[in-house]
Amino acid sequence: MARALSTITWPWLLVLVVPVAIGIVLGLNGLWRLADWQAFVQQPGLLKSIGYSLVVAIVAPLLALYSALLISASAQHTGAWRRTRQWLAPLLSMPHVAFAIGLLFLLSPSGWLVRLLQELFSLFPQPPTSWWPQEKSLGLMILVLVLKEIPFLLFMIAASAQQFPQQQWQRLAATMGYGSYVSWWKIMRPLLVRRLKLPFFAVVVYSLAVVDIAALVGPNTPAPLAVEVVNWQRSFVPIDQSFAAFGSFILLVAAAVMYALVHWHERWVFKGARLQWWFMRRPWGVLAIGLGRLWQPLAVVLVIGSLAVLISWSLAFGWYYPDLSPDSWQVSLWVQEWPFLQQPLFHSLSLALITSVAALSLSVLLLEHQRKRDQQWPDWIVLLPLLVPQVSLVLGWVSLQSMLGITPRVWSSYLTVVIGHIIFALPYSYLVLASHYRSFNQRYMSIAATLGYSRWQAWWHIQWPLLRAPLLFSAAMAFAVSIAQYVPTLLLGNGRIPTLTTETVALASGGDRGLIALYSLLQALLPLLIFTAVLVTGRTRGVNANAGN
Amino acid sequence: MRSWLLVLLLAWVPVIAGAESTNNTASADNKAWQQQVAAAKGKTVYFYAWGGSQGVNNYLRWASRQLRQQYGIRLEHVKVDDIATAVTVVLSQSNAAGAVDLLWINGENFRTLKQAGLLRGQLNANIPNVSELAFDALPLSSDFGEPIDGFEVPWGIGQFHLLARPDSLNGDQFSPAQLMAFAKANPNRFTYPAPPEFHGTTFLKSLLLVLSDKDSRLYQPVTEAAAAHLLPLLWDYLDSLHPLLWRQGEVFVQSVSEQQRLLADGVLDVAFSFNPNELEVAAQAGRLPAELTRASLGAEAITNSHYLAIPTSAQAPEAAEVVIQFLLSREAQQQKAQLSGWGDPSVRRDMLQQQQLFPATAELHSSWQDYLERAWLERYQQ
Repeated sequence: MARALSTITWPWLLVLVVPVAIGIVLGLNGLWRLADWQAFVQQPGLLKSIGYSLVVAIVAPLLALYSALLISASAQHTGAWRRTRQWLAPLLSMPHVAFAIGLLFLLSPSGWLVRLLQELFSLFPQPPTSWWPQEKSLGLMILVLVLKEIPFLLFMIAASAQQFPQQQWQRLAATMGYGSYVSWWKIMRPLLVRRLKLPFFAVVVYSLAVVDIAALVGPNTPAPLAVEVVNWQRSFVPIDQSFAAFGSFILLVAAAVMYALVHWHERWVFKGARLQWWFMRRPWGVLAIGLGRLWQPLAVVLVIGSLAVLISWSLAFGWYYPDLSPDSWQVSLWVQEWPFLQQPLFHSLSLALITSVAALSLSVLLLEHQRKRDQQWPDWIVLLPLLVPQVSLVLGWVSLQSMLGITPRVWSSYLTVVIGHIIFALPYSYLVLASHYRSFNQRYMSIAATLGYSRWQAWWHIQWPLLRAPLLFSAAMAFAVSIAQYVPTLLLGNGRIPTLTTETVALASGGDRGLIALYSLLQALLPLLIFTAVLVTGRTRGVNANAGN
Repeated sequence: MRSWLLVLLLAWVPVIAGAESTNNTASADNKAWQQQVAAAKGKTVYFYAWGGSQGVNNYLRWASRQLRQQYGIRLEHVKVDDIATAVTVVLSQSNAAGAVDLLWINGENFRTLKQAGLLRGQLNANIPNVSELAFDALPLSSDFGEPIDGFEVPWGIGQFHLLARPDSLNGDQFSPAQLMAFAKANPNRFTYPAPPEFHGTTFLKSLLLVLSDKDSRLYQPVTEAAAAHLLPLLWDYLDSLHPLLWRQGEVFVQSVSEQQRLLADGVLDVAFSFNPNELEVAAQAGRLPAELTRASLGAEAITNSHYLAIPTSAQAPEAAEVVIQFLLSREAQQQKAQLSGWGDPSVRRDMLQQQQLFPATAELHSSWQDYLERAWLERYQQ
């Protein structure tokens, strides 16, 4: 660790490590009450809870990754890549909770599908007790996460694949007698797995630490560990505060183990690409093409279905089983909320814009700095804020604010929220960008230098256009992450900076489905605009076959 | 006839509107209060309160408009998903001007802040309208066994009860035996929020009260002997109930909101509520079917109160007191009790006769809460 840190110059150390260190010291201080550990390991259901977390963090990301790889292989094969990408933006921009609510209302035992069957065939006068997916189960939780992460990984694949001379490779492979699918699997897949390593790890960490989705659709006797940590945090019995710290620590260790696994997985794929012969057999090719073909309508149904659910609920009055439609439709909720939307909308938008510009700039600066010094910093330094449970970190910063005697004002609260958002958005924007940036062919820059361009001129004229897709996507990710922040916005903002997300999360803790739907729709709207813009601008650029390594 | 209707709506003529300001406060106090009201003008009060209910949110929007017009105070409702979040903020901002001016709070959250010495005291002496509250008629002065001692002020009333489909359970009170019989006849149609969720724990407390015939030891600090004697009653009951629950008791609902959603979605036949007017309020808001009935578990409903408190770190504590004064006014309490809005019963003495409440029983001693939660987890979460 000391060796890893010694390569980093101190200003960067200050920016990357110190905030997290402060958060850990001040926010996780229960960790040092060693006497409570004994009571902790005897907590009922602790092992099961950890087990749930590990299963979700391993199974959901792997399913999502391999589904995305198979879908992209098939899209490559059938030439449906563009149509596949069209449906990514709406799926990407829908907040996880909104997506889960939509999915629940479509597929759950009392959902729309069951109601339709009741309407048509009178099969279920009461919602069926055996049905899949069951509400509040590990299966449903994994399903929601997989469906939500596939678009993210597909987006990353789209941004990566542009940089490989795929068509040349495929032609070459064809002369050697390999079909396009096999050649894709043997050549593209290992390269993509390497490029996707960090984004994939982000998916793993998210699955490990997610609280809202787990509480909504996951099991609860016990719940996955991240949920139990929040429960402990919210109980003010001193020993529960220690438990919360211990639980956070276990999540941190689990994340470290997962990082090792992700690393090992990448090496396994890369080193053993030739040995993994069983994947190349015919059934897998058929499965891939099938999955790719299935993805298209599935994505359409999911997007239109969950949007329709949200729009319907925001207009519905009185909607009970087994009715297919509500007692009446009315716009009163929209009319009622309209005057109160401007301020949260403005806060969300301005924070997200500032955050995305700052996070992208910082990511580029970080990567340029490493390139110039010919270093590669360990990724975990940048990922640190994602590894420690967010509530503990943020509470540490809140204590610091208080120790420094800063009196909360509206402007200072806004500033601290901006800083908080940047800290949590930077890892994602860096993750999305790093592998593309590192594999950029530096010969272009040398040539530019010989032509008399300065480093930044060359960056602007050459690197920016060639890396435009990953750069824009990196900014869009930061934008979306900023939009989704709840705890940092509420706590660092001292409640002075309401955003669409602080309103939505507060509402989601209650039972007013109409309002939850209305705010979720609005929350999805801003990222939707950004992702659509990125997809459109990313598409107009021709694929430069020689841009990769 | 044992009716849950304590009192029916009476033709009740309100005292003339200005009556409040002319009550028996000494004129010196009155003058000091007038000065405090004048000084509060132009201040902003950040009110941290749960933001998950449309009724509550709309009520606070109304209160915010009134306060601006009547007092020149800006009331900002900081919507939180759980008030514990606000409590953690107050705990970590103990030594500086903090973020929170006013809190909606009760139970363990209150005890934590009171014991940490982080709440402003003397609220009962400072705020004139506190003298209008029904301390004699309602269990207001002790919050889950913790004396409020002027560190918080009652705002509204909660009574634990059940909402049920009319063809499932009948009557205005269900005994545990009736509930069991219903579950046997209709497996998969009932569940409860998993403790330590508040409503789930209250369900356990209610059961224990009825099953033990209100054993007096439940109102005293828990002892191992008392627990060993009383808890088997509860475990025997739950052991037979759990296999009959929704999903055979393998999972439970996370919250009462989720339980009510599943009731609306036809999955469950029974849900809980703490708002005595939930039936009408939810039906008027289109959240729950209008034909539901309500009943207490046993002859009496566990009754508690929810409160308003001001942290010592508040930036505008005097203005927050003026806000409390307004929220306890007849006008504000009446608006709060509107069935088309929040429907939260008033705590004012002069409004008691207007509301329909269940026969009340007090909370168990607060030490039982934690004990029950831990014992439940040990037994059913393995």
